[in-house]
Amino acid sequence: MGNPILVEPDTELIRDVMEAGGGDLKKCFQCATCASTCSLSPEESTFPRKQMLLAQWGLKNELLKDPAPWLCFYCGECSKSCPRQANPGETMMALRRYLTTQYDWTGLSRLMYRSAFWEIGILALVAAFVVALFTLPQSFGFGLLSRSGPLPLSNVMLDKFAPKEMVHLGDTIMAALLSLLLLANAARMFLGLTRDGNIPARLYFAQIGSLIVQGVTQMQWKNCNDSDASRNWIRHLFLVSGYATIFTLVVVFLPWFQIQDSSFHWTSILGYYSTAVLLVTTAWMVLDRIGKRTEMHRFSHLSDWLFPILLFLTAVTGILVNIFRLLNLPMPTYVTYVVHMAIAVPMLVVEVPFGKWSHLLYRPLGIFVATVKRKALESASEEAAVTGQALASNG
Amino acid sequence: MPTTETANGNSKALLVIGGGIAGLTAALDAAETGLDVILIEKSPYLGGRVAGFHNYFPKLCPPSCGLEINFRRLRNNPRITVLTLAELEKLEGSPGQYDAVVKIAPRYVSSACTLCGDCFDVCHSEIADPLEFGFSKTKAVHARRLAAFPATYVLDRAACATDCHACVDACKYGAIDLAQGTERKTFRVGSVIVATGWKPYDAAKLDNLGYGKSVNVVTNVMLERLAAMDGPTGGKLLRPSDGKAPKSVAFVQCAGSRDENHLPYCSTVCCLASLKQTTYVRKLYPEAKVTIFYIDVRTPGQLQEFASKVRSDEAVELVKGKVAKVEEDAQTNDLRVTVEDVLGGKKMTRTFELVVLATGMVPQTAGLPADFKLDEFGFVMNGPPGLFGAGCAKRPAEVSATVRDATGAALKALQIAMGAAHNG
Amino acid sequence: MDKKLGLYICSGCSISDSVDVDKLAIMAQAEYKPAVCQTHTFLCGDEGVAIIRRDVEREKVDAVVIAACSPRAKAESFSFDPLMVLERVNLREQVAWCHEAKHEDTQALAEDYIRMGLVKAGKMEPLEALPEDTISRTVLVVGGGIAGVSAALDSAAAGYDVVLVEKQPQLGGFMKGLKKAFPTRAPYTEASSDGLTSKLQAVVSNPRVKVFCSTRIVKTEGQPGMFDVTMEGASGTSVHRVGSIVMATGWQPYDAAKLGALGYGLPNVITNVELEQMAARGQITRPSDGKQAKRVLFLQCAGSREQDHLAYCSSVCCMTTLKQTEYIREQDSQAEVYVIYRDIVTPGPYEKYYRKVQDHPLNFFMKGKVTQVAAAADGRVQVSLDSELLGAPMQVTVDLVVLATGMVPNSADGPAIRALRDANAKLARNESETQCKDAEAIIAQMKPHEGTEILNLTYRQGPDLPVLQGGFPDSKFVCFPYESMRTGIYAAGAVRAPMDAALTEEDAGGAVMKAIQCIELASRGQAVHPRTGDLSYPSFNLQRCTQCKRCTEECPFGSLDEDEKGTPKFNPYRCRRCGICMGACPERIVSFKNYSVDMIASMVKAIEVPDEFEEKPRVLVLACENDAYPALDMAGQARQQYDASVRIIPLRCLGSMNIVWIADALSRGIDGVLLLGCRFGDDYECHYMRGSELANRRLENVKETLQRLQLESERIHLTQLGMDDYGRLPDIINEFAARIREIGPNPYKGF
Repeated sequence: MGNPILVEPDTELIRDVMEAGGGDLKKCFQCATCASTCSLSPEESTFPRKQMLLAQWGLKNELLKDPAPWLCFYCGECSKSCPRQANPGETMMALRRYLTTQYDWTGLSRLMYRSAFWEIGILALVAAFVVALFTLPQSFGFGLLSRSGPLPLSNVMLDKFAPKEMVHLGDTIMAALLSLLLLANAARMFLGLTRDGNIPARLYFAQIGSLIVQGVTQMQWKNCNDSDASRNWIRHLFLVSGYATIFTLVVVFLPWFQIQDSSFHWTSILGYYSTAVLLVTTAWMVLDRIGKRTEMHRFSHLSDWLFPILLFLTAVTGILVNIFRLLNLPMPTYVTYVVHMAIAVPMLVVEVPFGKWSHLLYRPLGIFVATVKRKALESASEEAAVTGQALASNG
Repeated sequence: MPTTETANGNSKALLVIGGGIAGLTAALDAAETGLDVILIEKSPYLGGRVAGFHNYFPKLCPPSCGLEINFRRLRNNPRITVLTLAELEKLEGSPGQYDAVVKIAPRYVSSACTLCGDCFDVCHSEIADPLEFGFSKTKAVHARRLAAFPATYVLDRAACATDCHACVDACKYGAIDLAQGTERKTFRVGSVIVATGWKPYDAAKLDNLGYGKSVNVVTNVMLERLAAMDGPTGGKLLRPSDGKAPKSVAFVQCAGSRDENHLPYCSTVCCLASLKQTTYVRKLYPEAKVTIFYIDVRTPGQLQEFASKVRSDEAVELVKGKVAKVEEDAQTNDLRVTVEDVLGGKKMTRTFELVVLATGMVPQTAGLPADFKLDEFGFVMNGPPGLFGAGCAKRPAEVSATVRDATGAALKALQIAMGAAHNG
Repeated sequence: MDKKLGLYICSGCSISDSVDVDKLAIMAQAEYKPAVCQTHTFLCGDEGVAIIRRDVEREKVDAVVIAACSPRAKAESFSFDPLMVLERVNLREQVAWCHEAKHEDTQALAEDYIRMGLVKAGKMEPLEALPEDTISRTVLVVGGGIAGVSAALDSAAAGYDVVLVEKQPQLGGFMKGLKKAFPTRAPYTEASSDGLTSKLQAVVSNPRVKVFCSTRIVKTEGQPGMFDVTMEGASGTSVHRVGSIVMATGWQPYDAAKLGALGYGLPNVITNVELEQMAARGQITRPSDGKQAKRVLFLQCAGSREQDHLAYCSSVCCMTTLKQTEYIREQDSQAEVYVIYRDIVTPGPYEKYYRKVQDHPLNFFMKGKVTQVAAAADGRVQVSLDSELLGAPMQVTVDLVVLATGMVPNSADGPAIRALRDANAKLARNESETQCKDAEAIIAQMKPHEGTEILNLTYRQGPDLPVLQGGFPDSKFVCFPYESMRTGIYAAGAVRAPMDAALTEEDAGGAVMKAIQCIELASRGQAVHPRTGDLSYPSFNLQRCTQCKRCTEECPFGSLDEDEKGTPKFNPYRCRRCGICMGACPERIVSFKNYSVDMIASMVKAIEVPDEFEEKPRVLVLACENDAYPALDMAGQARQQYDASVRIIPLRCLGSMNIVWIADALSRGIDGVLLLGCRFGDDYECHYMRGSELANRRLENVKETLQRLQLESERIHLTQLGMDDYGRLPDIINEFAARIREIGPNPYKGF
């Protein structure tokens, strides 16, 4: 049992979660239908019933210690069968939104989750900065254009417009920056989760493997009750693959990937693959949300919209750049290039560390810690059993 | 026959709809106080739901005992006219002077019947026993096995073989008349009491709980029959799939009740019904284990003491947690029940040989004349003076609350007859 | 006077397939020479009934014996002048349908039954209605709370005058103190202003209702239809004649002083009743410093559902707490309200109110067990609990703790009051010194209960309505919830069972209906439940009374008072006609015109007992007519076969069994006596409360008789059964018969 929970309800938490999709959470009367329905809920530490209660009571510390919200892939069966229509599924989603804002130390995340104005505003700001990088007259490192003489308009010379090394440098800085921010938040998440658990380090190492596998595949998802589970999972898997490819291409292989003229280079093939995947999956996701196809799509937070839409636009503009380039239309190429950047960059720097994309790290980490905690419990109980027998044999 | 009107010109007659424990009580209390009563029942026999029950809680006494007394009161009371297979078709007029048109379906068996059973012996056409949830069969001409009121057979004409008149020939007392037709009678009454009672919530809508998928998933009403001495298993409570004595029984509470997707209200009696039925199992099979899965255990008033007694039995386990899934094991026909044990903080799947769904009460008020006001769930509300609800047509309630309510309704009828303005 | 007997034997319903009906007729004529002896193939048919009617009118037959189906069947066909002597002999359910057809034993059984029927009819007298009495049509209502006021208005509305007594200076009772009443009508989401005020006005302005406040009842004499109630109060002493009584004395909150473990005694721990008063006055604050309560915690089941407090659930505390939660909300939208419960009990549509209140972000519900309630800094209260929903200990520090205490009925009986009463009696009789010492000790201890009597009945069996478990004068009968152990006195509202205002209003209606019914039946000289409408009543041949007081002690309804010598004084309108007094009387001085010790004894003597060499034992079965007899019929309907050595005699109640019958049976050579009665004990099923239990007690004395006669005590056996045991009956009977065969024939045969 341990120390008693000192009840000091965090009313802000209750309000935030209710605003972020958990509006019906107070209706829950703890019948536990949800936990019984959920095929992912582990036997020993069930969800989402307990999380409903923690949220109802605004027990923030308990929630920060609890990886459960990240174990839920939102099949929505619990919401369907809830006798009080308290919507546990969406509440778990809202909890993930809430927790994302809590893990982030800058406070930006909370700002953006709680107001569309800030969300759009910050994205716009970064976009403006990107455009500025290209368009402003040459001073304070701006004005990439006029760097190497006049802009070639006879045929496409992208490097002249946006010098590889410069962009690459930018990409790298950006990647470093967002990874750093994300890792910092993840670290805070981790500390919170493991605060009062004296878990032997070996268990962590033992589970590293699963962390990576989960991170890449998110296999758990397949085990959801609903019929769409595997479909959603595969779709998501493709999305991840496409996203990962393009991200690597841009951040690591840009010197080869950004092609100077209207010629063809093998890297494009990868480019084509990922853009195609991104286009299809994101469009599909948006349509699902519009059609409220499944429980999962019944309620959509702004963050749920931005995520696929931005990705979609990035893909589209990326394709346009490529087309114009191949058609050797200099000016359209340059313009779409800037637009492309102005969408992609803010999406990455804002959404990845502060927005919904952060789940690409939070979720595997959550699953990881949950597994470790479960193992810890098991080994503890085993030991207990052993000592118990020992005592018995002695007595 | 006494005068049919009181000083103020109001009719001294009362129409009671429903011959269950509520209707019977209202009719008897009114008649014994001096009103003339027309008691109509849409089924062939009086007694209603309780006639199908094995025992009442908290005393675990048989309903037949109270019905015996009430039927005796009925036999001795000339003020009551009993009409079975009868329904209220039309209601006209105003408080104190209603004209009620009652439609009476043919019974094909007259009061000359002596219940000797000769007709039954010769009847060729078997039908599923309407009182036994398809557990057992009877014949087209049949009678409620025990305590039948009226004490005559009834013929289900639809089930007869074409131009068969074996029963007519067999009856020594000329009690069977195949030519009987539907009748309509109009009664002038001062007030009407709706005691149409309840029906169990349709368990077919609870597909996740295995009803309809496994015959070993039964409702609490069905279990009453399995436990009843005159029921399909002669009171041995054997499970349907293989007629074997269950060694483990699960009760699933709130099967449809307290559920926004089914019945948003609490059916009030299911907790006690399950605790009562637990005693059936334990009394018959000392080896058997019983588990009750609940949200809240609702045992108001002194009924709590009954509950405590049942819970003190170590073979009886109460688990807080609403069951979400019941699946049948194809080999054994046993049932896997998945639930979170909230107090134990564990999710578990347990296997039982019999699962009982504690389905709730749905008011039987469909088809009443529009004069009656119904609430959002279909329960009868206090309507215009002269139209009253009683018992479970008005609110989910256990038997004694139903009886109290019915006696109170009879008073309201008396007040209408006496014509004094009633306040509040 | 000698009667003109008419015997009518029906051969229908396969009776003639089972026994030789003509032989029966010949036997009857030979032995009893009835004026008329007829057989018929369809006696209940119009023709058969016409024959009987004709004989009654033309042949002046004045004692009809119908040997056909069970008396429970075809009553509508065989319904004649209710005062006429009519005896039914059960040849169908209990002979033809349950014994081997055409067997000599079956024939012998039928013959005996006909003998018994004829003998009984010969002894029966036509009933005489009670002498005309003037029956009061006024209803006395005790208690001026919601129950009493509703009862008064209900009686008045039905045209019956009312005397309404309230011990407080004004009407209204507990409801008057409420700020609001929780919702009891659709849509069940808004607490309402109580709705009592209008009723209070109505009741004081109602011409039929006489209201007496600040008044107590000092004496209630008489019986239904003619109770004389002496009242003492502000308006002096007055005596009122009333027909029946509704006791609506309500409830009081459970004594919170006993809840120290839950922190009562700490300045900021109060009960829900205290909170209600606070809310009614205005602000809800902390008693310690009058500061507004920002954090309030409700503790459910405070004293209820606890073996060492109140074993029952008080039914209303959950709804009350939900309502009071809203008081706090109205006062401060930011206040935090905690509810610690065991089970939330909001039955029926009340569930909607739970849902509504629960929905507020700052209302916190937790199923849990409180482990400690302690004072914390600046007057706050720290509540420690095991939160069962999280499986972890919790601590909440709040401004105010509210204990949801339960209901205790204002009934005037139960162990404490009885002890006090007995002790006073002892002193009055001034018994031995030690006795008086103990008595004084008890009186000192029970002082608080002094003067808590309510009705002060002058009954020999105590001054008030007897109570059952929990101190409620409730009925034990699921099907007959208003049946009390005092005819004409009905409890209503929270004094009868814990209930809310809405149910109380309905309950009052029901109790009033019963009170009115009792008056109407009395005015017709008829019995009330369970022998409703019965015109017979016992008469006492007092010349032979030995003042043994058995009848006055054993009557479950206190129908019999005693004069100073101990001679019983019969109050017919209190009587339920069960005949328990008849069974109790060793001098056999109690008898009904259609039911007496002599009649049953003669029936026993009418049984033909074969001598021991025939090896045909005879077993007398005395069966309660309410449960056992119908069960025997059901066994017959189910065509279950059992031993034909039994001779069954129905009794009004096994409590009317007089041991003389057993003595007679055994001395006549009958080999065994089987008594079939209702289950007794805490959950008794006897419709006269104690009948079968009393019969069982009398058997003790019988055992002595047996020893005197040097007979085995196993020859007499009492079995408790319910109607649903009909399936077991054949076994019960066969086993007993078999045992009797083992024991061997009764040595007194042929004496």
